[in-house]
Amino acid sequence: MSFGELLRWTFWDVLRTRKVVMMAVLASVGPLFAVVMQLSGDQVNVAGYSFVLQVAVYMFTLVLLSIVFGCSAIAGEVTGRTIPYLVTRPVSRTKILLAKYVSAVIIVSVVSVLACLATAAIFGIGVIGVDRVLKDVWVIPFAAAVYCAVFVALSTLLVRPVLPAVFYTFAIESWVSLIPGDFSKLSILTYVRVLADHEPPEAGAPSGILEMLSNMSPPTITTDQAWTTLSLIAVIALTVGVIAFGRGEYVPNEEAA
Amino acid sequence: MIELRGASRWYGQVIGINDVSCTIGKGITALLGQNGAGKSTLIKLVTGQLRPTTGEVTVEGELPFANPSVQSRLGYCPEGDTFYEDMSGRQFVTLMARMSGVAKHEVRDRVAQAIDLVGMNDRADTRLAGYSKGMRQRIKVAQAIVHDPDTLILDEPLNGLDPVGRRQMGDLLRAFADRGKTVLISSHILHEVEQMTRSILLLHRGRLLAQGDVREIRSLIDRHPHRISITMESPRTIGPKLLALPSVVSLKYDRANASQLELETTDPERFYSEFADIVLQDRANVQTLYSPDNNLEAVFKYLVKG
Repeated sequence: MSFGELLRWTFWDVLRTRKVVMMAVLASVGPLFAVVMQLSGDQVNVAGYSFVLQVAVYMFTLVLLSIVFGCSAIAGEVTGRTIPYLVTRPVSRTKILLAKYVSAVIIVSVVSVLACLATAAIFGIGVIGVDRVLKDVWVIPFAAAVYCAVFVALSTLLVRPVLPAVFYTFAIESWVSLIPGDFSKLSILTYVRVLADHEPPEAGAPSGILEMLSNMSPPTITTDQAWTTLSLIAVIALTVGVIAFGRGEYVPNEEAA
Repeated sequence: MIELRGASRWYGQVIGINDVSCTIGKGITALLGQNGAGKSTLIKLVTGQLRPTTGEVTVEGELPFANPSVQSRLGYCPEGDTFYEDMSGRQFVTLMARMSGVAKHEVRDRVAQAIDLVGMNDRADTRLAGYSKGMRQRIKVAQAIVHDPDTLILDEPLNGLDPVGRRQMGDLLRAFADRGKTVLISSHILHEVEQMTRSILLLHRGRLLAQGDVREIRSLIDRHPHRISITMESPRTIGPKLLALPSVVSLKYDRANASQLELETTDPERFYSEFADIVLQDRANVQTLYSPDNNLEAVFKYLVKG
């Protein structure tokens, strides 16, 4: 079976009705946020767009979609008890894993880019600038490639990887940037932010201890470092995933017992 | 040919199979055992989903784990009946055919043939989510035979099939085996597979308890006193006649149920023949007759004690 056919099947598997509805809901968060800001007249400019992109698209839509599609790559087959059909066929496990990875990256990228474009359209591309939007349009697929690689790898190692993935993205990633020192370098989002290079939100009323903590650890990562680190994370995660899936035994626990 | 040499598989502290050595050749071999005996573990070892903890499992001389060369010659029908539910039966079998290496130009005909063989022509294009248990079993078998494998492994394929379906499945598997293929079929119901094959492997608590011709095992069982329970009108009239038969060892009436008696025989076949004569002579009205020992559980008990 060719890689193209496998990819077509994984696309079919991903684009099932319930998942399409979920994608539409997640993709609409950014534009809805933008509409609310437009209506309230709050930050209707580049800073507003940057804020929505960072909070709603990068930190929410992109990350959640990556968790959903990345974590279900292999673990979904195990919990769905369809894994025997995959691992007893004369198809290379590496090919299966890469097909699932590529389809996840494409879908997460397309949905997140659409969310980004819709947000930009609401703020007005003329106001934001085409270059600014284009930068996001190519950083988003790269970020999707990194997150999906990590979560696909996790799905080859754990039967239920969603909880650790959510914990990492919404607990660790949100807070390490506030811890003084180099802890922020443990977060994928830190490097994605460097690449996306969005302006920080406009200075408003001091937000107290969070702002103070944030100021104690200013970003020191260069764009090159961000590219290299994210590329390395993706390559290492995929390698781990390929090795784990190639050597692992995938039998639902209840069956083994 | 499938070979297990001292194969054991443990799941942490739990035993799957323990030091099993056997050879499974061409034709149909039934893998029998109660739930939890290790049948599915043995099948997962043979199909390359698991590796043995110790010992070795080979299929045609090769290790099956993640080995496409072995897997291209294997057809596997898993026990669970979960699928990609949004697919139709035909789409699912087509996907499995392509994954099993059936060429693109052949796939349509092969899929149609496999679906026809399992008798699913009329429902092949509806969604799997709407399939009954029996239909699911048929589609699972179709996906296992679609690439015409040399070795077919089926984990409890008769579950959920009605008697007609079971007979059709038996015919299909016999025809497959008659073409010189190896078929390994697991079941926990002895009489179900007895109609298909005489060659059996008996697993009990992970160990291989017996291997060989089912008739030899049957004769072993038959030497062991068999209990036979009979429900009839006026059992006390016919009881003394039954007790006088040389094949009957003991007889007792059921105090709670006046129409029931239970006896023990050392020669069930002879007893059944003599019993029929007595019933005809006395025009006795027999309502039920069954042997609590004539099942796999009793076979295990006997073999384990024996």
